[in-house]
Amino acid sequence: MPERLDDEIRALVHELVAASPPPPDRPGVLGSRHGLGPGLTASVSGRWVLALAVLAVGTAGVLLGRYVLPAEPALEDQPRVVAGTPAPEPRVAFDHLGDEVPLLPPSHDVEPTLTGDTVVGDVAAVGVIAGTDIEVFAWQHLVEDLTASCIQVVSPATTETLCTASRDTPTPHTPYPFRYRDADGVAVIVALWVVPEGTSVASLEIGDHRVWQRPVGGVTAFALRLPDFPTGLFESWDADGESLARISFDSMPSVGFSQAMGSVLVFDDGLTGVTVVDLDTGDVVRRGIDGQRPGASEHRLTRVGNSLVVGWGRIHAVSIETLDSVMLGEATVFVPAVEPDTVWLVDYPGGRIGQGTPTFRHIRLNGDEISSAEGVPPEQGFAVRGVPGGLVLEGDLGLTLWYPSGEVAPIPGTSRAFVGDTSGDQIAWCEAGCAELRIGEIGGADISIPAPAETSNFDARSARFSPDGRLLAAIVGDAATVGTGSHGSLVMVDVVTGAATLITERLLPRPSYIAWSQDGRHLFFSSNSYGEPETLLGWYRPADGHLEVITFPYGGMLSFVVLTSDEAAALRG
Amino acid sequence: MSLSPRDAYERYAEELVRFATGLIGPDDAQDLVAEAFMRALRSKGWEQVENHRAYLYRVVANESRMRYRTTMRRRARERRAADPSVSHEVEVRPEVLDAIGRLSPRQRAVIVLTYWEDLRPAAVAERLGTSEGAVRKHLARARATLRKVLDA
Repeated sequence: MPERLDDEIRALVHELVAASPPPPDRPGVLGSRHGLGPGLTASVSGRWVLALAVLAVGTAGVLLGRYVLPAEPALEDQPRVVAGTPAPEPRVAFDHLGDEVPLLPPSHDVEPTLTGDTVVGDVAAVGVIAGTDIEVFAWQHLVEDLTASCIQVVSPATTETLCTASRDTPTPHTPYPFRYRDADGVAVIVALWVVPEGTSVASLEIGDHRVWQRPVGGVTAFALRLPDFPTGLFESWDADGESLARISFDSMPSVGFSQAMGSVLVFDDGLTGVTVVDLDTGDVVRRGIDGQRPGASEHRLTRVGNSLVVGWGRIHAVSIETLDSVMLGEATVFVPAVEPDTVWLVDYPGGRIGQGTPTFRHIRLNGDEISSAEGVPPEQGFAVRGVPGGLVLEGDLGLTLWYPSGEVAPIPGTSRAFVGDTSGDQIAWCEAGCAELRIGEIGGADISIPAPAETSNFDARSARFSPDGRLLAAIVGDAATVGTGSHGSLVMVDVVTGAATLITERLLPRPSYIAWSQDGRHLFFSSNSYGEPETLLGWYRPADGHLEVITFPYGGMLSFVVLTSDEAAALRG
Repeated sequence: MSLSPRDAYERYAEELVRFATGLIGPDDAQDLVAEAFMRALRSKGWEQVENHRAYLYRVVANESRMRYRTTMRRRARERRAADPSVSHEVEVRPEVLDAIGRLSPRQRAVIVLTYWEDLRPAAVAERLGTSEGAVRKHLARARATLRKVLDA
């Protein structure tokens, strides 16, 4: 019944639009309705003042991490003819209805190849990478209800095709970065994307740090010089064509994960729910989680057995299989335990951390209490992790082990200590500055892992032992720039030998989060994207060193847990 | 003839807020339009714009895409939890916000212009600065999504 559907949608839209508020107060800069001159902001809301402040910053070219360009981008060296580029002649491509439309010719007799699928993408384009004899095709096509976005690179030596599929609305201007090695064996790294409306192909040239934009059907490429290229993260056109957003192509290909992972990432959304990302389908589901609350606490979304433990003040365990929620008890915060299917509840008098001596309760996920005892006062440290039979506390002069019997054993240090992770009877920790990470048996000897060359410190909280305890992944960075938005590198430590290997160089915004799959085969990492429109998402496989990174077009994601696709059935809905 | 930003504001602010309400719901519509005007104002291209109305619609649609992707469904959740006595004067059911929130920003824009302003696809395309084919495709996908939601 198409008519009935139309009527229902119309009713839906009318109900929504009927709730429209009146226009906002006109900003002072537009001239006042009430006789106030420009610049008098008495009636201007706080939001407007913020917008004006942003305007001032925006004219300097940098806005909250984005380079905002005027509607007409300021092009350097404009116009500039690229030497050696052949004049265009009509060539076939496809419009949104699958009809052929003329485009540029490739000089090699190779067409975009697809097996059995119909090309119906609403953008198809072809171009020549400036200064090379590499030609590029970009198109989209539908495979059942998936939108595949493809790039094909043709050189005299080889043809390569890369596609990524999603269920989202086709976005022909999504960046398609990849690495390409030319016939001479020289690595040419290019990021390619079709700019909005499919009118041109843009490419990123690494050597000179320039973006080239070349109209489809034209021979003139425009060069945009971008300020301050960071390593690993590069600027590219945003989807709206008005600003430049960060993309990453430290690792290639990054046009979507190239293989099925069988994993689902469940992200804390920082509010009252989770964002569930199926890595194999690209499906994203946001759902509320009973007991989860906005607010900062050390441990938020944590997997314990087959449950997710969430909350502060009131701690809940939510079954991954059924999503049923059990209130474990009232406590200021919870702390993960080593013993299976248990958690520690840490309750300070008055519910305020650091106020008086807390009670430490060891609780099973069904709510049964294993032990309950008075802890130690804040001067002696704060409980952050379980260890076999007890808890480890961070103090101003090292760590302290605490057990329900009242036994207390110091792991002495010389300054404020931070626990990264525990695994069985192993612990990874560091002292102020975290220039080196210490890994060892609890109560036994430890080894010191210095931050790798060109980095200076570990992000203390990021360290994660692999499930078998043989590897430890962590984020390292530059001490001088902690907390200033600098990028961190991923490092893998062989716990047996102490060898530390850099996996990425300054790829990850800080903070970022890492977590292992349950089987230990994959390490996943993601950027904190609370308040951001997109998330840097990647995985690493220690077995063969395979690394992939994508920019995921959803934001609002904090730390995450890894589930298998089967486990996540209920969460995926 | 060039229209001053001030005149454009007087002329279009009200309908743009309605459009923005369709894109992101009533709670953030004013802020979205305010930011869209600021963006239009600082654009060097304003003087060259021929169709200011279409230009402003496009800026509002782009702003919503950049900033408010997930806002509507969060608002739906907040409204479910909220005390009804302090809710918006004109009530929008959480189900409505949730249904529209399942659409991509571009689909929302097409749906609002199609079903609120009763524009044909060609006119929607002109308003949003895209092709008629793209509008038809977004419309088809949005209808398919809403059919699932409404049948559920």
